Parts: sequence; structure tokens; C-alpha cells
Amino acid sequence: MTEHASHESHDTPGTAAAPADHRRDYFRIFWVLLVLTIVEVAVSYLKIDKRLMSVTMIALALTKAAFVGLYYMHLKYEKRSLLWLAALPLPLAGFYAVFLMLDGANLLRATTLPWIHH
Amino acid sequence: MSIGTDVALAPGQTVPNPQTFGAATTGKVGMWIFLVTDAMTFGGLLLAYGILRIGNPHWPAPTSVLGIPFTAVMTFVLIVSSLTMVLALDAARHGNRLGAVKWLLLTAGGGIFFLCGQAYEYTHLIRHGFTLPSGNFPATFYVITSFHGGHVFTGVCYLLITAAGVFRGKHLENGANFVEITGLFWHFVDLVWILVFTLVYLIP
Repeated sequence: MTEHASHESHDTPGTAAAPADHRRDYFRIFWVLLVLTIVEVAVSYLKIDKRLMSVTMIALALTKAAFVGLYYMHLKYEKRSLLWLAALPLPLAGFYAVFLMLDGANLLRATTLPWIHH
Repeated sequence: MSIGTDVALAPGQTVPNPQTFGAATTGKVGMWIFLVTDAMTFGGLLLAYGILRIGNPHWPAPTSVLGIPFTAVMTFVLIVSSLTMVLALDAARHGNRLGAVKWLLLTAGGGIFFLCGQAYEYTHLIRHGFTLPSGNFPATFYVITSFHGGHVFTGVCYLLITAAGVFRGKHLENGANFVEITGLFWHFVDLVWILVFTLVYLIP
């Protein structure tokens, strides 16, 4: 019950009797996810620069993932320590991904990287 | 039952509990640790896809091979199933046993629809020569999407087992913690699909 009571303290301080009502949030997030998905699919049909399109889509996908994590997986309402457990590996993974992909481009396509001298 | 939750509490009462992680039960922390490691596995697969793709200037445009409108519908169903999952948790927390069972079964139904859609998609693609050994794109596509499909199948089984338990009057105690942990897994499956749909299907 401890976890439940902490929900209450976030929502309505001082009234910790009934379970917190997140239904309105749940529906709001559903509409956000739906609209962002429609935008994403619509963007895929546009004739715009590929890089701009890729960056836009990754930004939209990360926004959607963040909404699912924060609201549907309740990270927003958890203790800060649990949020860190889930969030801390992400920038590390992003850093790793960018550099491995640059390395892949360098090895497979011989794209010149400023810090590698052939 | 997890450590430290076997203390009788008045409704809304909180006690300091050093044996659990913050306000979460040990079960929830366990699921989160599993999800973080599982995310790393998905991350590794997506990274392999990214490296192979960036290294190949002749990589086909995914939209020229894959059916985007069809997959968009599958994505929509998965998003709806996430909504029904949180509604199941909400019903369980309010002690609405049959409501929780209804939403859990609808969530599992969304998962089954997704799996049927994936089977249909695979059949269609294989008939058109897009087979696993026919190149790096199909190879990475099938490995990533089938690994995700395996998670959907596991999630459907997990949801049905949870629904059966709730129907028999279990899992409603402790803020419906068991249902919430089931939901964590299901939302993770949805979250990963959001990334797979973007990175594998949509990026030009």
C-alpha cells in the first residue's frame, strides 16, 4: 500500500483515502500517442530531406516512448530512485549507438571521421 | 508476497520500509530491472540494424517493401491495448474484479490481433521473395520483429494468466500490484514497438 499512498500525496495532498484516479490522464495520453503516430505516418509520405525526416521521426518516437514510460508505466509517480534505474542507461545507450554507427559508417563505407586518420 | 508488505496497514497509511526500493515493491523493482536488461537486448538488435544500414548505400527504402498502412493499423491496436491495460489496472485498484478481467482480456485480444497481423505480414512478404536469407534488410527485419513478436506472445500468456487469477479473486490486494507489474511488461512491449515501427518501417 505504501506505493499507492505515495500516489495520493502527488495528486491530492491531505486526502489519502480512495485510490488515485488517473483515468483522465490515461485517455489524454492515448490521444497524444494516436495523434503522434498519425503525424509520423503522414511525415513518411512527405517529400522532404531524408535527414530532416529521420530526425523528426526519431524525435516523435522518443516523445511517444517517454509518454508511455512516464504515464502508462507510472514512472512519473514513482520514487526518484526508480526513475533513475530506468532512465540512467538511456543516454549511455544513445552515446554508444551514435559512436558505433559512426564507426560502422567509417568501416563499411570508408566515410572519413575527423578523429580517424587513414 | 514481497518483503515488508505483510504489515497490516490502515487505508492510506504509509510506513518507512527500508526493505523495498523507494515506494515500489520488490516485484516491481524486479520487473524494472528485467525490462532494463531486455531493453539492452533490443538496443543491441536495433544497433546492428543501424550499423548495417548506415554501411550500405544501396539499402532499399523500407516503404518500398513493407506495407506502412497495414503496420500503422497494427501499431494503433497495440496503442489501444496499452490504454485497455491501464484501464484494467484502474478497475483492479478500485476493486472492480470483473471490470479488470474484461479490460485484461481486451488487452490480450489486442495482442492476439497484433500476432495475427504479423503472421499475415510475414506470409505476404515471404511469398514476394522477402525471405530471411535474401539480404541484410530482411535478415535484420525478421530478427527484430520476431523477437518483438515473441514478447507479444509472452505478454498475451502473461495477461491471460493474470486475468484468470483476477477472475478467481486474486491479485487485487496491495494496490493491485501484480496487475501493475503485468502492465509494466505489456507497456514495455508497446514502447519497443513504437521504436521498431519508426526505425525499421518509417525511416527513409
